[in-house]
Amino acid sequence: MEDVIIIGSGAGGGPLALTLSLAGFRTLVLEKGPEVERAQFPHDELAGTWRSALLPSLGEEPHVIVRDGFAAPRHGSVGWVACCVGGGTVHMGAYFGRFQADDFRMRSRFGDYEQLADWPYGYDDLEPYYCRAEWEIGVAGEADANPFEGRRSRPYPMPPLDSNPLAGFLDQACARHGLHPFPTPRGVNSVPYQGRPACSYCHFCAGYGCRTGAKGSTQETLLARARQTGNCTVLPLARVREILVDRYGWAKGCIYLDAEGCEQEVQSRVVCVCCSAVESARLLLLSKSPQFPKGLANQTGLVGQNLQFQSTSSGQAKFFRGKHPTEMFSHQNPFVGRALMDYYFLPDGVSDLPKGGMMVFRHAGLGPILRSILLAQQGGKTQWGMPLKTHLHEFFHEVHPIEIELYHDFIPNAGTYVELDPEVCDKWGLPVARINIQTPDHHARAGGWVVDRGLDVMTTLGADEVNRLFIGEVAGFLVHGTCRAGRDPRTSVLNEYCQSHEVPNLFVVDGSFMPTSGGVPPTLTILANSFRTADFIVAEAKRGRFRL
Amino acid sequence: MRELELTTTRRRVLGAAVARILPSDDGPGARETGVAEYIVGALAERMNRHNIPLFERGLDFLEVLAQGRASREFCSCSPSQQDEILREAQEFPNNDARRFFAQLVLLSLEGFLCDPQHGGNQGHLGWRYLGLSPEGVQLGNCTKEPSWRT
Repeated sequence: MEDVIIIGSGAGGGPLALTLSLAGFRTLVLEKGPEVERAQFPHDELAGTWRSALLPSLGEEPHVIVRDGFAAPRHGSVGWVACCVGGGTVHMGAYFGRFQADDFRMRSRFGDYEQLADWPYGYDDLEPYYCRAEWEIGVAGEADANPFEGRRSRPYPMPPLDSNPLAGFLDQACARHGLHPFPTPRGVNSVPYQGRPACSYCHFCAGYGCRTGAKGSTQETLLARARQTGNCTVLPLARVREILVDRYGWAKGCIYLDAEGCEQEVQSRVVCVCCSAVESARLLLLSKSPQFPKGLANQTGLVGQNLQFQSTSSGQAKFFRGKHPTEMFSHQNPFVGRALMDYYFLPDGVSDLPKGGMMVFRHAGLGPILRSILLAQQGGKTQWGMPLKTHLHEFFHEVHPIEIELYHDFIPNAGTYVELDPEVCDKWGLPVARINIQTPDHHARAGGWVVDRGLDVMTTLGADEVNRLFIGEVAGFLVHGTCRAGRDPRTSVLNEYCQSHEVPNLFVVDGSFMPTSGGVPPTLTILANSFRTADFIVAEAKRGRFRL
Repeated sequence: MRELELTTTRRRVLGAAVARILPSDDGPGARETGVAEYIVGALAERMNRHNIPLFERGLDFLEVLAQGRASREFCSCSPSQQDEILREAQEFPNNDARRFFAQLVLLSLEGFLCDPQHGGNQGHLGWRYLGLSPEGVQLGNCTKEPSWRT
C-alpha cells in the first residue's frame, strides 16, 4: 500500500511528488510514457517536434476533434502533452510569466460573459507559491522589470538569459511607442543552478527536450530531488486505465498496464490525477463504478466541461537582407528575450471583452520543415512545383523574419468540452477523448488587434513587410479547465485545493482546475498551484484525514 | 497496422509525383534529395502508419487519372500532363483526394528538409538549396555567421 499515487509526472505531478516525499509519505508516480535521458532527446526538427516521438501516435491513441459543432470529426494531436517522465515540462517553451490579479476574478471584473468564473482563491494566495515554483524550478528573469506584474515577495533566483543584440533595437522601438518591454522570464538556467548547468544557447529549446539539462523540467528538478528522498518511486511506461473506489466511494488505487502490457493493481490512501486537462478528464470519465455511474467525481456531469486551451495569435515582420544594420541580425543567440504586457487589457472598442495577453518577440523560431509547410500553405491553397520552390528560395535567401506571438485567454464556453468518444477506441480498447472546440469571436478580435500593435513596433524597427500569421488559433499543448475548481459543489468539480467535492481523497492537480486560462502560458501557474495543493495534502494527512 | 503495399506502379507514381511537387529545374529537388525513399520509410513509422491506406488510394487515383486523361502510365506522362493530373487531384471534390494531396506535399517537404538520418535531404542538398548550413539549420535564415558560442 502506497500513501499517495500520482498519475502523471509533469507540471502537476512534479510539485506533489517533491513535497509529499519530503514530508515522508511513500509516493508512487505512474507515468504512461518512457523515461528519456538528456542525451537521448532528439535534436532534429522531424523527430524532435514536427513528428514528436513524445506524443502518442494518431494510429494508436488519437484525440477526436470536432470544430464548431458541425465539422466532421477528425483525428488529431490537439490536447496531447508530451508523454514521458517530466510530461509537458520536457518540451515546454518555459515562458514563465505570472498571471495578473484580475486573472483570478474574471467574472467579478468582466461580468456574465460566456462561462467566465472567478477562481476560488486570489493572486495573494498564490504569490508565495509562485515564488516557490520559481526557486524550485529555477526561473531566469528580472524582478520589477515588468511594471504590470503583481506584488512579488522574492526576486527571481537568477538573472535573465543573455538576449540577442536585436533586443536593444527592439527596446528603442518600443520606447517610441510608450511600451514597457521586459526580459522574458524563462524556466531555463542563465547560470548554473542547483547542480544543473547554464543554458548552452543551442537553438533547440521550445518544443524540444533539453540536452544540456538547463531547462527546468520536472524530470531535471522536482522529480530528481523527490527520488533522492528515498520515498518516491517514478514508474515509467505505466498506463493507468482506471481509478478504483472502495465501497464507501473513496478512491483506493488504480489499475495500470505495465511496460509489458500486463494489468497491475496498486492501492493507496490518496490518489492524485495529473495527466493534463484532457486526459485527466478522460481518466475520470473512464472510471465508472456503481457509486459513480457517470464517471468518478462526476455526479454533477461537470467533468470535461469548460475545457480551455490558450489562444495564440502571431504576426511576422520581414527584414530584407542588406537593408538593415548588420548587428541586428548577425548574432546567433537564439533568444530575442523580450516580452510585453502592455496589451494585457484592451482599450474600449476592440472587442466586447477588454482582455488581451502577453506578447513575446522571437527570431524565426521555426525549423525549415515547419517554416516551409507554412509558406506552402500561405494564402489558403497549398503551393507546389516551381512556384513553391521559388517561394522557399526567396524567403530563405532574402529575408530575416522576426515573429511576434501573443498568448491570450481562451474564453471558457458551452461549446468547448471533452467527452468520451462514442466510437473510437485506443489501441488498448478504451474510448479516446473527443474534444469539441468553439472559439468565441473575441479570440480573433483581441488577437488581431494586439498582433497589429506588435507589427506597428516592427514597422518602427524598419520592417520591410509585416503580416499577420495566425489569429485566434488554439494552442493545442496548453490545456485547462475540465475539472473546474470553485466553492460551490453544484457548479464545480474541485474545491480550492483541487480536492474532489465528491471523493475526499481524490485530487486533480494539473491545468484541469483552472476556471479561466489567463493571458500567459499557464505552466508556472500550474506548478505554483500544485505546490499549494501539496501543502494542503500534507496538512490534511497529518490531521489523519486520509486514513494515513 | 500493416505496411504500405508498394507495387511497382505505385512506386513509380510516387517517384514521378514528388518530382513534380519539388522539381529539379533550378537546383536539387525531390529526385536528388531522396524524397520518395523518405516517404516510403516515413509511412512505415509509428506516427504515419494510419496514412497508409490514404496513400495507396491516392497513388492509385493518380494512375487512374493518367490512364483516363492521357491513356498512359502516370510516370510516362509529360511533366505538364503530370502537373495537370496533380492539379486535378488537388482540387478533386473528394476529401480523400485532397487530404492525400496535402499529405503528399507535406511529406515531400519533410523529405526535402529533414535531418539526413531520416533518409531524405541527401547530402544536405535540401538545406543547401535554402542556404542553410547543417550547424545553423535551426536558426533558419536569421544568420549565416559561425556559431557565437562554442
